Amino acid sequence: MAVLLVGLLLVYLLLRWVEAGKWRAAWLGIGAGATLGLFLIHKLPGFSSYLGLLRWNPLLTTIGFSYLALRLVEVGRAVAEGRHRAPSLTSLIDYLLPFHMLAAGPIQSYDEFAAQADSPPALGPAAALRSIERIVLGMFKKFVLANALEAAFLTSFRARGPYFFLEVQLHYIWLFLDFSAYSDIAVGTGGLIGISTPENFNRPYLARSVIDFWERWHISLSQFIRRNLFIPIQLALVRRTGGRHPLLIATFAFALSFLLCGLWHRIELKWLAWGGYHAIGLIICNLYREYLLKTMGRKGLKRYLANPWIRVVAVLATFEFVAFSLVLLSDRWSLPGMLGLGAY
Amino acid sequence: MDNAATIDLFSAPFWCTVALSCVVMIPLVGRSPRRLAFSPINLGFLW
Repeated sequence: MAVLLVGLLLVYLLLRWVEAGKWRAAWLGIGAGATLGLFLIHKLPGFSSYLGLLRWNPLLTTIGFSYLALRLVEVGRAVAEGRHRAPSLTSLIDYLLPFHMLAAGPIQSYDEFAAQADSPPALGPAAALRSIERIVLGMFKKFVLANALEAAFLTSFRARGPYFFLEVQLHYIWLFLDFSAYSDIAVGTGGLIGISTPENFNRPYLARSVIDFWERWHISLSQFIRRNLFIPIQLALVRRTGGRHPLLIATFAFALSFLLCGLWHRIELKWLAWGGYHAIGLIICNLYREYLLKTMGRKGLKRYLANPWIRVVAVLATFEFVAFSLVLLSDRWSLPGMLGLGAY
Repeated sequence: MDNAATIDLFSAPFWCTVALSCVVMIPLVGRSPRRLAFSPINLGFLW
């Protein structure tokens, strides 16, 4: 706990010094370096053991450092770019360590946190009931549906033949039920105590493209990627090239953003492969959309997208694309597993 | 997906913190008192 309090105090002071402007780049560099270092200690046991810091791992895991690191990036950028004043120590704690968002997000943007009303509207019976319903829904999804599905049908992809294909579908449904349950409980709790908690899922199984999927699944993470990776990479490349190759730039930005997104989950080859797989899906969708726009025009594309048959095929194809991406994360079918490299 | 903290949302300390935060936060109005109350709750949860 003492380490955590000292860490919070250091972040608070760093943000004050960044705001003050003198040696801003140096303070930002120290903050970014420390965040990256702690992230590597958290994610690479070999690195922390090399540094003799293995005992730090339980603390970093308990506070959900993967999410905390993203919140540090958010608040650091907001202060460095002058969009917000450096937060007070209590605000900083509330933003970085909200107890109901620690387990599995969502990752609130600092802009949204800072824009919260001074006083939330009084909690009426209807709002309280909605929030309690949301919490109960989350518990039902996790305790009843996800647990039953896992116990009855999932074999960690050990099954062969047609059952393997069935399990691929069920594994995706299970992951959605399990992961969104955490978000339901976080959003419901936030509603009860008047702390703004962003939605993280919007019926992702109805997504009609990989781009649409990332607007519906782990929404707060994909918005973080857009704000802090995709757009800055795109802008930097546009400035460098004078905006001459927009499709190529978007392709590169998708690839780099999602490879890093894969590594954020875990610094392992299988997560890099998962990030690359999604990047390829996003790039193909983007190129296909541009192709349709060029050949059909705006009106034609609108008609094409409104076609119910096209919608059905697109939803099914996206569902399968995402479901099969999860197979890459299993020990049996991961890229290193198939190459005989073990757990890399 | 693979980033969950070891905090178990389904454990007694989590639900005790939810109950405590409801008791403390719901009646509070005004930014400062709410901030002052919420940060010890967050730190207390990690204690």
